[in-house]
Amino acid sequence: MKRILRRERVWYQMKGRLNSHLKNYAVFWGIIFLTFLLEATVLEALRVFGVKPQITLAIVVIINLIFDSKRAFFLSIFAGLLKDIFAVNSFGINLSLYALFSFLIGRLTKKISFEHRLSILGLIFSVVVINAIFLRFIFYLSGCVVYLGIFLRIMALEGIYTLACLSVLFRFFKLKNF
Amino acid sequence: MFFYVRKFKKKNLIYFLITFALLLLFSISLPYFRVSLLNILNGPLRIFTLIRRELEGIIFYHRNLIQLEQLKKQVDLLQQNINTINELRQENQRLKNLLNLKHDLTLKVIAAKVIARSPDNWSSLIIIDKGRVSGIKKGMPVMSYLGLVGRVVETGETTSKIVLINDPDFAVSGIVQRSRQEGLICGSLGEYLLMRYLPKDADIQVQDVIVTSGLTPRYPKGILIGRVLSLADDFSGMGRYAIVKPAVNLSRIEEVLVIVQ
Repeated sequence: MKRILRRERVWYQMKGRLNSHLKNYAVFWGIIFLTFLLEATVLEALRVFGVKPQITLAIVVIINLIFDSKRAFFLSIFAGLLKDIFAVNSFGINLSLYALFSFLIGRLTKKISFEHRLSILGLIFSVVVINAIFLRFIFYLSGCVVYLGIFLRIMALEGIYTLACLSVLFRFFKLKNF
Repeated sequence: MFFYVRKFKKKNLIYFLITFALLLLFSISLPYFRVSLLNILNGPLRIFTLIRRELEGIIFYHRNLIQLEQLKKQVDLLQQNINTINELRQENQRLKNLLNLKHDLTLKVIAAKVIARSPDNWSSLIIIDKGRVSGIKKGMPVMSYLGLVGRVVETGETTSKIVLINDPDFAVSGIVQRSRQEGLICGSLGEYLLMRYLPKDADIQVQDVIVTSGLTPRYPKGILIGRVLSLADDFSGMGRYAIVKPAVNLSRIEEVLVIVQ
């Protein structure tokens, strides 16, 4: 019994320590870099129906809810920049999209409060879907054809998969503490 | 309203200007910038790729075990086929010599390992651990032992970016091996490829083998692309298209061969 209590105390201490570290702005630069590396390598092994979660984009949304608009904006640009390294197109699509999302979420948070976990998940899902719609529009303009069926499948799956991954993450990190 | 516009200018115009300046700077210096960053990321990507392989090994242990048994059986079968093919090759060589035909040039290739993949679901590309130093140039076709994989779109000193054949940005001229019917092979982001611009009376059937036609510059003739899965009429009703299953499992490529010559 004592051992269980001790283990639980250590676990809560660890969770608390992690949460306090997450308040640190500098840590998020590292987190974005790490998630980007994970998306390009490790998450490849966890594809479901050929789709993997958009963790970097979800973290960009969370950053915009945690930090003030200036700080969040620069972090979003950093995330977009990293994504653009792997892009085929010559223009910084992800950089501009992430900057736009940062700006829009910044405006939105002034009017709506995102405190409940479900509302945050809803916002992330919306951003993932909007990101997909924007990308398809850009593909269309650049002459690349992504068929509607494939587009809808990827869009729905990546939204749901991202939410599933974040629901697990939210069990460890309390967002309302920030 | 005026106050709102003023406020908007003061606060958000700076953001817009910064974004615009960054975008401009980024798009101008993009090739050099991206290539340099890719070279820097070479090390960490290799480490994470190793972790991914180990993770896959653990997660899919049972599947790998069954696959190994099946492959062992297949190897025995293929060994017999190789012996037969060797016999036929020698016979073919003798006949060619008799007819004074020119010898086909063998392809000069560079082998490379895949160190990363596209982080999003909207493009299909890979990063390999060989670049300009090894003699890789932009536009070179890439294949594996099983068939066509894609083409090089960017090269750094030690890394290169390759667009896979299922990317919507990719297209190559292909022909049906049996009937020599030509078409354009395009990526669709999905698991399969599309062979477009086939005439209504095209001589093409399910299970037909599709190879490169040699009409697209730099792509040698006869590289295996895949097999026809199904056929359908296109939206205009003027022609047909075929759904092609790639010969290479694009989600499981670990090593590729860049065709240099």
